Amino acid sequence: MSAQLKVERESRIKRSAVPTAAVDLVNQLSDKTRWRWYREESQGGTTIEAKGKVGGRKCSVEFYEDGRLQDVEVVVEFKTLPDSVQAAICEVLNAKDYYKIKMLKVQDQFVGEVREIAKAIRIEPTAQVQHRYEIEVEAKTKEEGQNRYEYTFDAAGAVLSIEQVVLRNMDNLEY
Amino acid sequence: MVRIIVTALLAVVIAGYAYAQASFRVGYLPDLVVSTKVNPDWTIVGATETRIGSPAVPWDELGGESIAHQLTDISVIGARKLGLYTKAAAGYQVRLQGGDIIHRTIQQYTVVTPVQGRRLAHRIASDQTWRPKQDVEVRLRYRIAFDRPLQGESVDRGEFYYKFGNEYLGSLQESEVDLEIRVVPALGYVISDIKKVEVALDYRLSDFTRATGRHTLWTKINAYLKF
Repeated sequence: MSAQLKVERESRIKRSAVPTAAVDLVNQLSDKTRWRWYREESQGGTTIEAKGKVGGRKCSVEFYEDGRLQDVEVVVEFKTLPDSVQAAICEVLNAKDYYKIKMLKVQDQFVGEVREIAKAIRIEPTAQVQHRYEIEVEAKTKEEGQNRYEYTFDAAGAVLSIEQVVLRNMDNLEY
Repeated sequence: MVRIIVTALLAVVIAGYAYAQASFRVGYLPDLVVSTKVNPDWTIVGATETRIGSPAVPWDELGGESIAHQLTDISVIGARKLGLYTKAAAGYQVRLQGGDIIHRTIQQYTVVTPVQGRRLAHRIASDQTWRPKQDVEVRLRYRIAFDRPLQGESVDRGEFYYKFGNEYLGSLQESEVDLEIRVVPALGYVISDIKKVEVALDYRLSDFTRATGRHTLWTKINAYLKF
């Protein structure tokens, strides 16, 4: 599977600019969290994202523009993933011709009803929730040099998508 | 961090003004930086900068002198990506000043770290300058700079950003040591993914080791193009 390019543009928005349905949903997830709201534009279209902490864990909730829930991502440590999933993910990454690799961020990704997602975050995922993993790595290949990649894996550790994150030009800070 | 730097610089500037016979210079510095990737690891950078300014004069004579072209720098630099945010570069610069041709070799190492929408950059550089009938001048430079968006969480296409740079340059020539300090606040605009423009004030305080200090204020216009 080859990597698609991912260009993201994120801007902070006020809560008043967010559909009421989205505000209600994050409050169902955690009404004690101070949510920060963003508009995110990418090749896939425009989404709305809420970021905050739930149960002490960094959490981002992504919505379609009309306020329907898309998915919820929670930052976790790789070593907390089931051993079989860790092994499957390592196998995928090792099969690539990376000769330098560093894991930057690992997230649980949940798709489903908000109540079930809240249970999945606080206790464990049920069969009503689609569970995936999103893993961000910094890796180097001979052909493409050093880059940042976002991998999405299913609950068993099979790869679903690979995106190469396009970094912003830094020439105004270098020269 | 920024507060500490600004306080330190203010102290230096005030001390600079206290010099009995300080000289002052003002002018413009249009600057064009063009870069192109030759492969995933290597980038070639071409840059040209022209100085149009007044001669260095005492404060009360400032404005009486006409502003004229002083010099033009043309540089070619090869930069190698070492990591996602680190680069090592080396290059050559030719300076056309009066009828003279001045040669300079440049080496630099940069680290740019993203920090919550801001980007913090450290640059450590050295250069060696060969002027006609003079000993070589060696400089060691350190610059800290950051940029931050004026809207949103990252500097994107069609958006303005603020940039602040602070650089320290130590020089050695014929056993004479000097220090120059630069403070450069800038307002930038991202036209597209490959084009940026900046308007900046570049304040420089130099000639520390002499009885007089030199204050220079350049108005900079920087354009960055990437192919």
